[in-house]
Amino acid sequence: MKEITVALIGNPNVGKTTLLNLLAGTDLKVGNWPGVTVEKKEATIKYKDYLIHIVDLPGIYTLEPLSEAEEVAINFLENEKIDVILDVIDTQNFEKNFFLTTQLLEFEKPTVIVLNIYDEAQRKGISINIPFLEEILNIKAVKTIARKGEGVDKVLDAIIQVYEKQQIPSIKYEQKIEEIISRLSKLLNKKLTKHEAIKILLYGVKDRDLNNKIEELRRELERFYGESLEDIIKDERFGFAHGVTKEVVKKEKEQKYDITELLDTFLLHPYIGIGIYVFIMFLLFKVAFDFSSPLMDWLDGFLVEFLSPILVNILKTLNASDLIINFFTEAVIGGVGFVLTFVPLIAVLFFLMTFLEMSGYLPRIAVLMDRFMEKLGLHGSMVIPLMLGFGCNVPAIMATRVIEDKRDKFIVIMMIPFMTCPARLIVFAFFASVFFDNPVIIIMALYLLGIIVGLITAFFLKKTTFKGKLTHFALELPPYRIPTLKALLSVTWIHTKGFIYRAGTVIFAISIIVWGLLNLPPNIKDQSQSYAAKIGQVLVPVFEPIGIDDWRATASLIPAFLAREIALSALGTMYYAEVKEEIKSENFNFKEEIINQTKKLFISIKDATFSVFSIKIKAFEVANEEFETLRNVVKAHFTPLSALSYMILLLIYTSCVATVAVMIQEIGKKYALLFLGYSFVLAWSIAFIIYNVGKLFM
Amino acid sequence: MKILEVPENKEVIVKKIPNIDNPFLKKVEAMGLKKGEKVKVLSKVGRNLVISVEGRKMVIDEELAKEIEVE
Repeated sequence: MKEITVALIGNPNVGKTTLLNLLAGTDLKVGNWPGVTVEKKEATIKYKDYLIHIVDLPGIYTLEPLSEAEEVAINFLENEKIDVILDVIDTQNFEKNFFLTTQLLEFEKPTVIVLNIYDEAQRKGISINIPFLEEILNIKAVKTIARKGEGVDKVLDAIIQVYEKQQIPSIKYEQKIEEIISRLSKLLNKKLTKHEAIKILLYGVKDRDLNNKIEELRRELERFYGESLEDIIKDERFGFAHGVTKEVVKKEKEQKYDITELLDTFLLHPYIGIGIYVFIMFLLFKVAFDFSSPLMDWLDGFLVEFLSPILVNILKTLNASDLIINFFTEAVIGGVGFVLTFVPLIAVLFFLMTFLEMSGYLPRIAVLMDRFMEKLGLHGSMVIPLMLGFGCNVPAIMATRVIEDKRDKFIVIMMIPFMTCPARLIVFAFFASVFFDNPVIIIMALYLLGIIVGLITAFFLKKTTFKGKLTHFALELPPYRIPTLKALLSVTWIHTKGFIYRAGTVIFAISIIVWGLLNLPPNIKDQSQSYAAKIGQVLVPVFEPIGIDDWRATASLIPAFLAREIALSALGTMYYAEVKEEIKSENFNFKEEIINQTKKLFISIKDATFSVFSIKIKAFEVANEEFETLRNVVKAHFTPLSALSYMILLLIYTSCVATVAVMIQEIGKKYALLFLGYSFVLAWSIAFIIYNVGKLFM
Repeated sequence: MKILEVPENKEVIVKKIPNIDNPFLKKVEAMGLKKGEKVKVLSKVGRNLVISVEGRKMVIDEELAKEIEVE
């Protein structure tokens, strides 16, 4: 089987991600570019007799090294073995996109140009003479409507075709430039691609003597045009893009009505826009909570009332020892199962965040919020990674690539860990609903506290270490688009899969360890003699001033460093050990229960759908009396105030190894660890103040 | 005239983007705000200008807008 490596590249907002999702389906892998925190997506597709390996490069406008994103793309194109360049263009915007295309053609590699969003272009009266485009550039061009999946199947065929024919694009610049390039080739005694030649002319080579001769060529060219070489090259590229556009693009009528303009009248309005933004955020969390909560309750019931008794029954018929039965009910269902009940919430939240991201709305938020951020000396673009931080801190830190300024980037990385991710939300959702009458207000207050702590941190950094002028603002506002369900589901699935994978691996392992620590040394009478109790007790003095004096709670903070939701699974494992007698296995009718569970599932789906359409946030309004067991035990060991302390601690302290790892990678070990310490001290202090002030009133 | 001084919704043509070492100006240029291009200021939001260049809508701040010459 032949292998083809394809570099997928294009401007931002041209539908590259959607196209890749369609081409790759579930084969898509999300990772990191080595050395930098720019997200790397890749996929290997089996098609006909080929293994097509597609690597998605960051969305950029030019191959000049303006920020990390361009550097990643240039490095990959120059140093990796690439067989085909797959360049995605927004057809409506042919000429502007073609500036990058021109630079790509300079690599003289077999190239496929994808003319995406062809339908919108047609509606605007734009048509492309594809055969002529293919002829003059010696490339393949495919028109697609990735949003609808049209034409996507032809892309793979085109890749194979240019690869098999080794179709090298032809790109001709003005005579004088061509002449200098061919003289440079002779001088260096090898055939140079246009890209190589221009790079050598601009930056020279290592050999000194040769460099002098190259310098002569450069000067000759500059004298001829009366401009700097940079300007000559830039003009030539723009000129080439313009020339090709004139040859192949036909524009018939100017369309007056534009949905993006209409929407922006409101969404970008200095006042109405802010109101809509706040409403959208409210809606996002409302839908996420309300849609998922009936499903989560169902999962919880399914595990405790159905799966657990079945397991116990099976194990009993197999004559399993009590220890093994304990292991399954406490470590597997109590620990892993409990965390898994949060899958609906995570999935819905990711789905909605991805929708906002793909719809083109996020850059508008940056513009709107810049007005407020600017007052704090901060940049509006910081809001985008911060918002993504509500989804997951790790990709949010990666997304700081949209911030060109190194200083701003550092500041925003210091803010992101304070943004409440779903892992924290899980802990909040549990504790808030157990201890407070109005859990939604508590959760919203915690979200707000995180944002305030982030802003204070940034403000502090800006006033001390990072003094200086506010950086520029330069951003494209893409047209609004409705993302396809397929693309949305595929991205949601990638993230949710990661969460489930963690539950099945790391969280499972931790649950086993926690369970082991709780049941060891052997033959202990109860858990207060276990290793876990000893470790927890050592830590109690540290956390006692903030009201956390139960050894289980302090012990749960250690495994929670792997991921915050583990705090809950660890607590689950520990407290389930206490309530295990309450899980009964007698009188269990399998058939009846299956019918029962199926009924409950339908009811929960119905509830989920209906609650989304009510105005109030319904989640947590009613306590679920059926699943009170664990809640009751936790209630006995915490007070509302100490529960609040526990939540504040997990909110502010960067208790997440993945976030710390990506921070180390991005800002270095020293600063990352310094930040970790800072976040702990800050978390403890805030919890201390709130706990002790609260005590005065309660 | 600088683009900063252009009244809203009036179409002008970019005369010059200065060749100074500013990655933001280079990015703006690569995005398509270049010499000879028709451009329109749509609105002002805070310190930023929402502009439309044939086919592309973008936002630049006043400091950048001070650098871009139009006619």
